[in-house]
Amino acid sequence: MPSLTWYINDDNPLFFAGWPAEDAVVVYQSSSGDTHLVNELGAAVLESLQASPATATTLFKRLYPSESLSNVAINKFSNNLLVNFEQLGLIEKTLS
Amino acid sequence: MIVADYSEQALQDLIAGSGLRFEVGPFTVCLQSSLDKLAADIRLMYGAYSVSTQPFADFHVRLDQPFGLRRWFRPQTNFTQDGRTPFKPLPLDQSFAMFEWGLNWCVSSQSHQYLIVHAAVVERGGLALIMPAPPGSGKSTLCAGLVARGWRLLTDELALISLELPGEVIALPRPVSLKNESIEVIRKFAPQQVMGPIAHDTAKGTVAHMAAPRESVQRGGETAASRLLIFPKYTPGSSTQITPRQKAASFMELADQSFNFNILGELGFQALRQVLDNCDCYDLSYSDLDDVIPELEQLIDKSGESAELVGALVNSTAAVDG
Amino acid sequence: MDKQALLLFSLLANPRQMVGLDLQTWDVFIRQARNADLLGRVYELVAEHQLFDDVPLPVRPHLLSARRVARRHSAMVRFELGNLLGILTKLETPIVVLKGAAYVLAGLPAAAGRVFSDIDLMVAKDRLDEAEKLLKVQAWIASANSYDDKYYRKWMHELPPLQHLKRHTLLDLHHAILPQTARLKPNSAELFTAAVPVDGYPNAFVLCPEDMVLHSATHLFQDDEFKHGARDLVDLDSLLRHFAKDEAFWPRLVQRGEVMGLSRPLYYALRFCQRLLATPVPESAMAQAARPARPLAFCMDKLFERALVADHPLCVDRFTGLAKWLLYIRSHYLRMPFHLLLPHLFHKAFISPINARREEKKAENRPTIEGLIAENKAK
Repeated sequence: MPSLTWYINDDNPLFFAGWPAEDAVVVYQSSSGDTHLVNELGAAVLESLQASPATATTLFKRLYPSESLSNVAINKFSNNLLVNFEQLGLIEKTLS
Repeated sequence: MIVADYSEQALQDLIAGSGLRFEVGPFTVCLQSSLDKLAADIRLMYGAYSVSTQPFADFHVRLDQPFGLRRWFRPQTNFTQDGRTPFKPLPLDQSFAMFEWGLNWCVSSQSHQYLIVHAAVVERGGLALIMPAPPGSGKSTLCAGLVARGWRLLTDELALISLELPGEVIALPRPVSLKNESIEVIRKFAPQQVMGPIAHDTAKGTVAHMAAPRESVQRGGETAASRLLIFPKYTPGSSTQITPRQKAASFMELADQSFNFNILGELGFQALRQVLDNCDCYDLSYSDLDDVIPELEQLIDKSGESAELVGALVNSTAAVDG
Repeated sequence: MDKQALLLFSLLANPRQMVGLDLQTWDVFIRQARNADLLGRVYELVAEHQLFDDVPLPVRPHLLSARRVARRHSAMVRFELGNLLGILTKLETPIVVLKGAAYVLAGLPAAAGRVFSDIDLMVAKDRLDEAEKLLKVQAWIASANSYDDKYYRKWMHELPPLQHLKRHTLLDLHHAILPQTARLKPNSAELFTAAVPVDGYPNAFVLCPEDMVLHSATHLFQDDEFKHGARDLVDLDSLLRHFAKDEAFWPRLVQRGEVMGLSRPLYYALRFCQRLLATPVPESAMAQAARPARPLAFCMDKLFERALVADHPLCVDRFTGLAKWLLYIRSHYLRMPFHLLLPHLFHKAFISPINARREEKKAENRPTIEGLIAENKAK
C-alpha cells in the first residue's frame, strides 16, 4: 500500500542553531531565505528527515522508539507537524 | 594627517573641487559638495579622522542642491553616489544629516564582505556589547551615554560582523544620531561631547549628532569580540532591569535587524550563530543613564572574568594532560 | 571619444587589460561597473581569466560583495521560477521563460554575475486571464495603481506587472514580446513553435537561440534608440559568443531576423556589440544583416553617449534595478529593515521616489492615446 514519504530537498538544505538548556531551535533555509524558530520536537523531526527521508510512521518510531503507535497518534503527528512544515516549504512529500 | 589639519577654507575648497578623501572605519570615503555650510560641519564632526592618500575610494558621494527653481525658495540638498540618487531631496539645513543617512545607505547596501546588523556596538575591556535597534528602543541615547562615560564606540547604527573572525565586530566609528529629547538628555549628561548641527522638522523630528570621541576614531582599526547582546528599551520611570533571555529567540531578532542576512545565506547564518555562541543575551529596561551605565559596566566586567576563568581552567587542564 | 568613458567597455571586452591597472583607473572602473549593474560580471571575468591576484586589495571587497549579491539573485530566480512554474502547471500550456530568468534556467554563461529586476514569462494570449487567476490565488497580485492597471489591460492589451504579496518579487506576464507591425505574421506563435524545452520543468521553455538574440536586440534597439545601457549589451555579447560555437548559428540568425522583420535591430546589435565589446561577428553575417537595415538612421555619437556609464546624467531608473532587488529579498521572519525601521528617514525617502520614478519611466515609454487612435484609424 503506497504511503507518503517525507523528505528534505537537496536543493533546500536546512541549517540549525540551538543552545544548551534552551527549548527553541533556529532553522534556516537558505534557498528561500526563511528563518524559523521551532521547538525541540520540530528540530528533531527536521534533522531526522535531513539525514534520511521517512514516512510519518518511521519518523515517529525514530523519535519515540519506546512509544506505541496508534493510527490516531500518527495522523495527529502527521497533520499537526509534518503538514505544517510542508506548508512552510521546509519539507516535501512523495508517494511511494 | 587628519581632516582637522585642513583650514576651514582649504577644506571648503577641497570639497568643492576634487573631493575630500578620508577613512571611516574600514572604508575610504570621497566627499564632494558645492554646499557652503557642509565643509564646516564635516570639519567639526569628522575632524579626527585620517585623510586618505590612496586614489581608490570605496564610496564617492556628492551633496548638492538639485537643479531647478528651488534654489532660492526653500532650498534643498540632494545626495548622490556616482550619479545615483537614492533619496528625495531634503531641506538644505539637513545637509549633514543627509550625508550621514546617505553614507549609511552606501555601507548597508554595498558591503557584503560583512554581515551588517542594525545595532549599536560599544566596547569595554576588549569585550563588545551589541544593542540591536528596533524602533523606540532608545539605543542611540544609551549608546551616546556609554561612549561619553568612556566606552569605545564601534558603531551606533551599522554593526559590521566579521565573516572571517568568529564573533568579531569591525569598528565603524561615526557620529551618534540623536532625536528630539535625547539631544538635551545627552547635552546635560555629557556637556563636553562635541555636538553637530541640529536639523529641525525632519521626518523623525529634531535630529542632531554627537561626534565620536577621538580615541574611538583612532582605534577604528581594532575589532572587538562580541560578549553581550542586549535589547534595550527606554521605559520612563523604570528602574534598571536586566533580564536574561534565550539565545534562539535573540538570534531571530538579530537576524530581523540584519540588512544583508539573506544575501549572505549560509555565511550570514554561521556568522550570527557565532555571535550568539559568544554572547549572553538580556532584555534591558531603564530610564536613568546614571543608573544603568554602572550596571552594564558590572555586567560586562563580570562576563569578562568568567570567560577568563573558563579559559584558565581549560589551560590548566591542558597543562595537566599535556 | 572620451577614453575614460569607454573604460568600462574596453575592460569588459578585454579583461586581461585589468592586469597592472593603477588604483586610480580601478576607481573609475568600479564606479562605472557598479552603476551599470555589471560589478558581478566583472567578478566573473576576473574569476574566468584567473586575475584575482592582479586585483588590488582595496578593490577586492567590492567584487566579492557584487558576487554575493549576484549569487543571491540567481538563487532567488530559481526559487521563484520553481514556484511560478508549479502554480502554472494547471494551465497545461507551454510557459516561455524570457530574458534573465531564461539565462538562469538554461544555464547560459549570460546568467553569471547577473542581477535581476523581475521575472518575465510568456503564455498564449487566450490563457492569460486564467494564468492571472491562478497566480492571484497564490498571492501574485497586480502592483500597478488603478489608472495604470486599466491602461495596461485596455490600451496595451497586457497584464500590469504582478507582485508577490509577501516576497515582493515582480513578475511580467506577456503574450507578445515583439513589436507589432503591419507586415509581421502573428509572431508570438512563431516564437512558441521554435521554443526549446527545459530539463526538469515539463511546462517550461526558453526561446530558441536565434529568437533569444533577436528578442534581446529588439529590446535594446527599439525605435532606433539605445535604451537600456551597458548591461543589456553585455547580455547580448554573451549570448552571441555562446551560440556562435555552432557555426550554423550566424546564417540562421540572419535568416530568422529577416523572417521576423527584425533585421534592423539585429544589425544595430551586431554592429555595437562588435564595436564596443569586440564580439567576433563574421563579416558575412554583418553584411547580410545590413541589407534590409535603413542606413544612417542614427547618430553614432548619440549612441556612444548613451552607452557611457560614469558621466551620463544618470536618471533614477538605473537605481530602479537596485530598488527592486532590495524589495526582492525577503523571508518569513526577515524583512528588509528599510520597511521595518520607520523612524529612519532614509528608507522612507527611499521607497516613494523609486516607485514614482518607475511609473514615470513607464509613462515615457507608453505610446500616446492619440497615437493609438491614429494607428487604429489607419487600419
